[in-house]
Amino acid sequence: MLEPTERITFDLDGRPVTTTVPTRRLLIDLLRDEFGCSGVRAGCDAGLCGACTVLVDGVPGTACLMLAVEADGRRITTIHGLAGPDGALHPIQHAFLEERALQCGSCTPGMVLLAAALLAECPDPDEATIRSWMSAALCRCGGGEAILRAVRRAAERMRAGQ
Amino acid sequence: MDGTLHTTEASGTLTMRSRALIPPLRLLRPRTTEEAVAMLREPGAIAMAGGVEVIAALKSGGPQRTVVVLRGLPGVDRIEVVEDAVRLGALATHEAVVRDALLREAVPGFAETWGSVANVRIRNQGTLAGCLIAAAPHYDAPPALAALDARLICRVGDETVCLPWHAPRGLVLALDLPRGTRFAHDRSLRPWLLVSAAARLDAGRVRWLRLAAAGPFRVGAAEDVAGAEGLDGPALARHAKHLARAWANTLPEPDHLVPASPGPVWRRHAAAVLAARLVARLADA
Repeated sequence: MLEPTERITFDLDGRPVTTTVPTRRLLIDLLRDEFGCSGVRAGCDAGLCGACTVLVDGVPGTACLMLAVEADGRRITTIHGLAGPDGALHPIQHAFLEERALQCGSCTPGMVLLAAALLAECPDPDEATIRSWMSAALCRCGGGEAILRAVRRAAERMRAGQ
Repeated sequence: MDGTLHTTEASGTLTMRSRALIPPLRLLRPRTTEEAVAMLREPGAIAMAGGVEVIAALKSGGPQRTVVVLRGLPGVDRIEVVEDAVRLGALATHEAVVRDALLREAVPGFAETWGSVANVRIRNQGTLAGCLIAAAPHYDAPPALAALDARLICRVGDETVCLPWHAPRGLVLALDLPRGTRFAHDRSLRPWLLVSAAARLDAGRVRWLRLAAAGPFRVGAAEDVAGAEGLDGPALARHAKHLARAWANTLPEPDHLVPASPGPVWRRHAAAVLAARLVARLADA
């Protein structure tokens, strides 16, 4: 029996891509295996840890719980698409580095994307909102407070237009 | 093979779960709810809304499945007032529910509470209807909908019917929450216990107060504990503990023992404590 497939076209990190995928393929595997997005991490495979966080039309999504075909017609942003076209780091990436908000780095792509989505929607989030959003990714290295400081620092800079 | 071992509650057996085990999928995309109902008549066909539950379940493997993809069905994601209810379309995500201003006004406490369910990633994708259908013991939807005495709007064959929250049939199109009902919820002891409370006020008296609980046991049918005369706010606050304890003593025994789960004595005591707090909160509101 032939494996069912579908042809999809979507925006990946600012560029249009078209591919044919088995309908059972998950977005995480499409992004990692076909497009080399190693920053979309396979953590728990259950939607709990947030390591596979991507932005779907600008809002945080879970690549290990999405069929790849669901990306059709949508805008998918991975950690690889956050920096500027000239490679300039996003203010959130700068803030994470400055606050040393990463150790092993496994959670970092997810954390950074969550912060990016949060600050795009809410440039001046209160503490409860920051904690609520950032709880969508888990850090096993104990990076919690540093990560929160990084988000606050990035928010401040972005509000100041830096 | 990458994967995780997953204990099923019913059998206690260990099963492998992995995205590598997802079987071939035949995806069907209905353009109308009528088409969706017809497609779901195929043997083995399953409906997929946000996909959180369906994809997680598919990771346990199995034969090729037919999946009816509901995303994109017109009009099924709306949140609107319909007579004396707020109607949440079955495809409205948890996050849409959290952000809906109409819902905040019409069912105070519900949208605010729902912001603490899961996390922003899951809330952007999952739906309340999907959460209800999945009916995992530690999920928030069953006790919340029980306390609110929510109704389901379902497409069954050629008919659209209104059913109790616990009896979905056919294709769930929407959930109706009664307008003017105040809601409170405590999930702090999850997964062992969740408690929901809902109250309807009329001329300053609580005419209707329902409590419901969930955990590794069947959701107890929500009890209306306000009594025929109703209660005013101060009386409700004074009687909160008594009401909560009397209700907690009616909680059912579990259908089966979940390994390491607390026993009925703890559950009744904890339920009474949480319920009393919720009742007091509703009385204050």
